[in-house]
Amino acid sequence: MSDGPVFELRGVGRRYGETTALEGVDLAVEPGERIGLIGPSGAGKTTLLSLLNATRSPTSGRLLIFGQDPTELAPERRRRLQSRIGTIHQQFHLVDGLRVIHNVNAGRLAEWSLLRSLWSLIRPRETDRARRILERVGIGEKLYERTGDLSGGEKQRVALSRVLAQDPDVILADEPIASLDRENSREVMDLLSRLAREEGVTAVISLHEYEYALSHCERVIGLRGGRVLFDRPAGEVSEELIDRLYRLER
Amino acid sequence: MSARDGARRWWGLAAVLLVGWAALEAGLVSGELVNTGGWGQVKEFLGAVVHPATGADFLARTARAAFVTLAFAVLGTFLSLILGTVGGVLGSEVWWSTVAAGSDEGRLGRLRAAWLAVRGALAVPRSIHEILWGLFFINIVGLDPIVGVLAIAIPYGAITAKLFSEILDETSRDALRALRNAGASPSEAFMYGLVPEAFRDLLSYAFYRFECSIRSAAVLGIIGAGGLGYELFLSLQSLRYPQMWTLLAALIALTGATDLWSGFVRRRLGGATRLSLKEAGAAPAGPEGEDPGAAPSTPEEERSAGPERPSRDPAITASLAAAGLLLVVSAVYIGPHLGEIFSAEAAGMAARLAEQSFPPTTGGLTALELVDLSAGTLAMSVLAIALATAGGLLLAFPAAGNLSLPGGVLLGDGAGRAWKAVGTAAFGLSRAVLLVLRAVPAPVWALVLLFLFFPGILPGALALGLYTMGVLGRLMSEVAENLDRRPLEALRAQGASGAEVFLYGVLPASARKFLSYVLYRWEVSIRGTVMVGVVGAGSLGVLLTEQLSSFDYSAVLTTLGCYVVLTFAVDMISARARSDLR
Repeated sequence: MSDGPVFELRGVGRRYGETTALEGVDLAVEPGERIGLIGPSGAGKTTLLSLLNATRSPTSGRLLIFGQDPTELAPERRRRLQSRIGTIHQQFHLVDGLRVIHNVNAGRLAEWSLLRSLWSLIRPRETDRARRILERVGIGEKLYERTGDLSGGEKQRVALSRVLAQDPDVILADEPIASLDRENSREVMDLLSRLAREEGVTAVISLHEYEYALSHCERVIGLRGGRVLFDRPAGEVSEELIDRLYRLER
Repeated sequence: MSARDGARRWWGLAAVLLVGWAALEAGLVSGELVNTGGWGQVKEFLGAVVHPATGADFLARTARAAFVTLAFAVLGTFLSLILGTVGGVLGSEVWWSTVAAGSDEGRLGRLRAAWLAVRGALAVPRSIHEILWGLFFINIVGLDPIVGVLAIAIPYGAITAKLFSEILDETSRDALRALRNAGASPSEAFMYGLVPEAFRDLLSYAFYRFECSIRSAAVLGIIGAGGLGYELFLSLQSLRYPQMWTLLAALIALTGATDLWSGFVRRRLGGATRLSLKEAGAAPAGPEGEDPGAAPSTPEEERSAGPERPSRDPAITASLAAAGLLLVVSAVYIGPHLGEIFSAEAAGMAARLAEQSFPPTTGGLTALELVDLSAGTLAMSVLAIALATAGGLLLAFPAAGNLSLPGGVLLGDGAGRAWKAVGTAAFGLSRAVLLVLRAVPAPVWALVLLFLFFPGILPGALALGLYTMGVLGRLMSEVAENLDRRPLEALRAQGASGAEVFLYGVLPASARKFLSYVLYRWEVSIRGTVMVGVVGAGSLGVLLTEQLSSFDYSAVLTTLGCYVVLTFAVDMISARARSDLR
């Protein structure tokens, strides 16, 4: 891995037709940082994350991921780059019809050849590895269950396992606990920050509940109306800043 | 291993054995199948595609025939809607328990018997294929356009009735109860509290039925009711291949236009969500293509997002106006024939028919021969659905725009221009192939295949299979188009290739609905074997046609009985498989 920043954004903006979702975002994310991304609904959190994992491209400005501009890469190189970034989502985005083992192994697809991917659907590959990962998130016994039969908290753990199987350098999390109850929320956040620390990966986590950003992240970025309102260590985010972030427009 | 895994293995094995048996039965292993002498005819037929008949006279005749087919479908659908609404209300539990029973609790018990009787009575017309209804009416009134209309209206009406009654029963009764408590009479509460809620679904379904009825109308032409099917049959019998291609082109255009219109209206109506929720689960089976859930469903959150749907959608209003206009024109054309069916002559004919049918006889066949012919018919349906499934799977995914077109999940954002072109070409080609497969009536496929194969199970199975492939492939691609896109994009985002997104995302996410549709179309196919039977490709169907042409109605009744037994057997197996694999 290069020593430069993981993400570098210079004046990045993204528009959807007439609507501007992001505008003039400047940002640098260093390896190993854990960043909380907070702000009201529609602030552009999800859009920013989708730029960071290169599923969308900025409509203005320049975005570098590990020093490379994804829009300039050939599809194969771009896939390589994407395989270094793991994403988990509020709605889990798992394939419910598949068994847990296959959803976890889906994290390995960028590594695997097509033939191996196909064969694994018939006879699961790397089951030991998948089981170890599931045990780390506390659901080792669910290996062969149908994913659709699991509870929300279990599904988010499967999604986390998929990312761990991918063995990425960066984990992006888009509202990972918004669909969970209080107890599961705390456990998943604890798990996420512990795993990030143990694996030494960079994490960018968007959160509706700003308290978790303050308690589980080192650096907090406040987005409002598609712009960065503040960007500072978690300890320096004041009540007053939070108020300004969420205050209703008059 | 869970119980479901066990059931899955068991059913998988059973399916393989069943297809293997069907292949043996059709003589795929041992028999002499290919008629090499027919190659010349096939070449001549295929060669004629470059010079279809374009004479002004013939084009005018084609246009007239296309209009007749359209008129069958329009009037048939309209009548089936009337029958379906009346039958649906009378077949619904909620009507009997609120309106018929009033506030008298005691009457409810006695009325239950009446309700069950209505439901039972609706099951009979549903289980008889429209081509059999057509043959029945032809025997009563002769070759008359009214045959086409009634043969569609009666079975479709029964199917619509079953579905409408289910919609009514599943609609929330809160509004109904509130109106009753506010002092409205039972009928008023029913009209205001329940019917408007269910109406949107019924309308959406009606457009889907219209789409099916165009295909039925073409098939009915072949037995002599008139329209494009009739002209196709005449041209084929007199070996005028250039004319056939002109007629086929007209039929494909008509089917394509109808499918586009129906798909558009159903999307605008937000999809008949209850139908899609049913997932072909508890849905009725009937003669042709009444696939519940065929209306496109919208993803969960979109559906719940907008409670304030515009009450007057100009596109829907325009579509309804167009439908009304079509209805008037069709009625002016066919209406005068309506008297035929109520004439004294027709009544006498029907009475004679009934008299001659009893008691049923086997028409000189032994019981064993009947069993053998029934087994052949079952084998035909199995081979047909196996072929349709294989082909449908190949064609459905490229035909789903959300997968194969530029920007689709399988290509991704970074796809090069060459891949985008490949995707677009695959989309267009697979759509076109599916349209042609379903637009050409199964009997016409059978007649063409009979050039190549000796009469028997195989050409019938191939013909039915090709046609079913067209219908099934379209339904499957609608399933694929309605897949939740986000899990697929999540796979893409971590660097999976298009093929891997397909294997780990698209395929497992659609597998269950596909299975429902396959089982469902199998039920339709066993009824549909009669379509290829009438042109000589197949078992019971051929027997039935022979018996009908020799006016041996008492034997016809026995053959119909065999069909009913087969139909029930397949429905039961399919229902069991569905519930085991859910």
